[in-house]
Amino acid sequence: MSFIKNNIYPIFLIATGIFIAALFLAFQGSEAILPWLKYFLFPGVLFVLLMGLFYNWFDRKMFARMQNRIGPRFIQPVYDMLKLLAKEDITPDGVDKPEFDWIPGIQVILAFLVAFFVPVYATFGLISFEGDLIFVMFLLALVGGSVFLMGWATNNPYGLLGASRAAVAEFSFEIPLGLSLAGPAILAGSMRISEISVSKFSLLNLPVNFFAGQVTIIHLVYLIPLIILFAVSILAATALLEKVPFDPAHAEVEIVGGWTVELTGKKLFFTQLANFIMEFALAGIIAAVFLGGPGINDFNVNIGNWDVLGYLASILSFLIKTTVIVFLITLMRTLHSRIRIDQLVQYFWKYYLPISLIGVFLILVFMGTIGVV
Amino acid sequence: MTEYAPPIPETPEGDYSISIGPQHPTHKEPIRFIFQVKGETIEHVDLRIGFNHRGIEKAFEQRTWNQNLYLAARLCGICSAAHQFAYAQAAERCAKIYDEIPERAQYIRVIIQELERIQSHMLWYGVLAHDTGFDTMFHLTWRDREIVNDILEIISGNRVNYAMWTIGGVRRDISRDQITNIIPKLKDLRKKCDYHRDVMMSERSFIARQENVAILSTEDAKRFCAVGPTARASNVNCDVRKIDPYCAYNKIDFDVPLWDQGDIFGGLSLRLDETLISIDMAIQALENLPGNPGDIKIRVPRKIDPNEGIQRVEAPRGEDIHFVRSNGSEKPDRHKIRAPTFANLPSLVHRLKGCQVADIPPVIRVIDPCIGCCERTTFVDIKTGKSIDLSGEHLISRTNRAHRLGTRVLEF
Amino acid sequence: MAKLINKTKLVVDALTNSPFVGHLNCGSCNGCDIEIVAALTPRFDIERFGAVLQGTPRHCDVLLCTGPGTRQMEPRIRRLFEQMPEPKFIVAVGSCASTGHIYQETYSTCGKLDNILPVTAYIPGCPPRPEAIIDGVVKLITLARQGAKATEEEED
Repeated sequence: MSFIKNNIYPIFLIATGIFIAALFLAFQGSEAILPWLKYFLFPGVLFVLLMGLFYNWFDRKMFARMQNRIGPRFIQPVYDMLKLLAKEDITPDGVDKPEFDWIPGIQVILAFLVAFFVPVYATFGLISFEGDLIFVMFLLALVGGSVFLMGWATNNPYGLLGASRAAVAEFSFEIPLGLSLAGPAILAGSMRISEISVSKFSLLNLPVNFFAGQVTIIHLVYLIPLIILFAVSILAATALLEKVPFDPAHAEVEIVGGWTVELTGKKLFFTQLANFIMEFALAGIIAAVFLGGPGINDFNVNIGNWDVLGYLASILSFLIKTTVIVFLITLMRTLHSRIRIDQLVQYFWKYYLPISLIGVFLILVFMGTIGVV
Repeated sequence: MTEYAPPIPETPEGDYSISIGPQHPTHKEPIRFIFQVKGETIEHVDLRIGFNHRGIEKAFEQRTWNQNLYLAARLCGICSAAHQFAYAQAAERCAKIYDEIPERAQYIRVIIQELERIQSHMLWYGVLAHDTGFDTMFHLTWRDREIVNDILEIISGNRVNYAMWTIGGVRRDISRDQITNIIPKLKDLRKKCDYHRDVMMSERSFIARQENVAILSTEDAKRFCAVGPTARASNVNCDVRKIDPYCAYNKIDFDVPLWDQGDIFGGLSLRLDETLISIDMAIQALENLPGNPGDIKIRVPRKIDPNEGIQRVEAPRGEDIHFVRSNGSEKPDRHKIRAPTFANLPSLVHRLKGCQVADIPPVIRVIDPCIGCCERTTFVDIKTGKSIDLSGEHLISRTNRAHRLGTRVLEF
Repeated sequence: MAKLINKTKLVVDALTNSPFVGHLNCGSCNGCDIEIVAALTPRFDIERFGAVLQGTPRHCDVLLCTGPGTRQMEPRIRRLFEQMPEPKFIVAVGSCASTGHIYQETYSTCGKLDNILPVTAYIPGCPPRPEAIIDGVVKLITLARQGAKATEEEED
């Protein structure tokens, strides 16, 4: 009994998750209730929220374990978020009030929007249309802009410095990120995330297809540029999420949290939540583009008309892939120290941009010589 | 609300100014740097100290010689043994019993000071790693630092303020059991410090933040009178343990590492080397502990005849000087402290110019500032720039009045 | 614990399970400060209880203050306290902050932290061990919960 009492919130959350999954599976044939479930419960708002909190916990726990610490409890992010909501919301004198009030909310909306493009259980996400990868890139650019405006609105020297650093970092990592996502898109012949994810030539599907006899051994040469682009995309995602080593805009010890320095209560809640959700969303997008998203090759299609087992298998595969990507990002921040903003610009423009260009170039060369079957 | 300090001059040099301190995550201690910044480059540095002034030198005059031992330990929590030791030695010189200290006590003094140097240096490079965002290394070094704290706890009974010294010797002996217990721990620690050295000297992103940042040339180190590891990283051999040996340092075999780069990386490499050497020295002293158990102190009279005593000590941060004057009573007439951080601050201000904002935490860290030790005070007339001499009673009445009236700036 | 009244159990749980800790040196000798930092590190690891060290007072719930509070620092201490969002707690870490210790009679300190800020919990020791600091924070949390519960019962 005391176990239940002590772990009431995790048990409640897991029970809610199971209940939602059961509801979803029970009503999947029903046209009337499915959209509601879709947008608000399962791949929609609630699921994204919980996944964001889960990956925050996972990130912190792994970080702590690799440092020989015990780390936070499973429920810790939920407590943190609830606490921030209950705290006093201070608007300091001298801030630019409209931006200061609105941008945290806008960041959450942007993060949710990106997360809606992530294919979770089917080959397509909640929103999917031709060219949605470009739209996602556009949303990610807006996130950088919102960070800059937020820092500017605080009117605090640390905030201003953080804002200018965030803008510089944005200019640096945006192009390598775009190029690294463009490579698989060129290979798949589509700018639609769902079509890229089912492509035979993504990083994970290529070896699987080779063993299944779908592609010949010579096509395995595509793995070289794909691995390069995958690495660049992880680095750029680390920079976008403002994690060590690419977090000069947020540097806790020198500019005291940068653009978040004046935020309290609800506003801090919103920015942190946006960051958590963005971590999940980015991991999901990278998983879809490089690792085939929820499916492995056309496994899901073969299993039959999306029955229960198919859904569960694809959700599981999606979770494993995103967890691996989040773990890679955590590993980055465990193994490195923060670099300066000038070094960040240097690394991205001098090394990662040419590397990603070479990756895309190699893909184009191989497509010209070997071709896509 | 303002503070008891002259107003910040309006310098047209930078675009805007950043104030770091008195409360800032980089440097937990209250000190204030005002940076005039252009873009990301620092154009001008202004320094405000005095937030940590606790009137400790005045408090020395109000307590007896033996009570002052425990006050001296509270000058600084990290190098408490060095300060307490310097005070005890100065008092011994003052009482003319310096040559009569038992040899066993002198060896124990070396052991405690070297153990303190190990924990201080490990603390330093752990916090440096934290300042550059390398949290993993910070946690690993602090995990291993607990070993030194355990050893100190075995010997003295406390983790931080050891209170091992007394005027005329040491307060606690180290038994044979303790030695057999401690030496394997120190050897284990040496392996771990070797590992820290390997990691810190090979991690690229960590080194990239430090190489060729805030270089202090040998000439500048001499010109700004830098002391301790700060100066040794700039190839100035100024180790008091070697050039002016005290207690048993002339009987122990050790090297003084020097580094000629003078940047942050030089300071890091030097301290990593010194940690290893200090571990060896502690093992050496423990193995060769002379004398009979229990023969650790001599009796000292409560009152000390009028005399003066001065002692230089190599604290973990550099040369620490204590001066005492007795007047025949139970209490010292005057006690003066010159802490190593105070000597290193001018070179710090020189080094910060031209750095980037992101370099501020490691550059402040490189002199290993300990504001707790260094807060002495001088009254300066803002208008003429001359210092003013105030007697102790005058000072107390003035601060009381200023506090009562609520005026923040003292008018002269 | 008047600051936690009119909150539901969930909110009290959240507030007490996630104390973001700030660290303020009001003129201490660093002894308490390094023990606070040691409490973050692997052997003690206060992140188990959800406590994370924060840089800016705007993000803090609990301010760990060390040192007797020097007069030069006094306006800054008050300002930092005002910058923290409600509900906020002050913990006096170490003997200096709790009682003034050896600095009681010196001319440039305020005696003890009580003379400047409303302190909720005192952690004695010179310096307190990291275990004592963790214990102090846990006691503060327990007090906060009890206070919230008592006010709830009163209202019933």
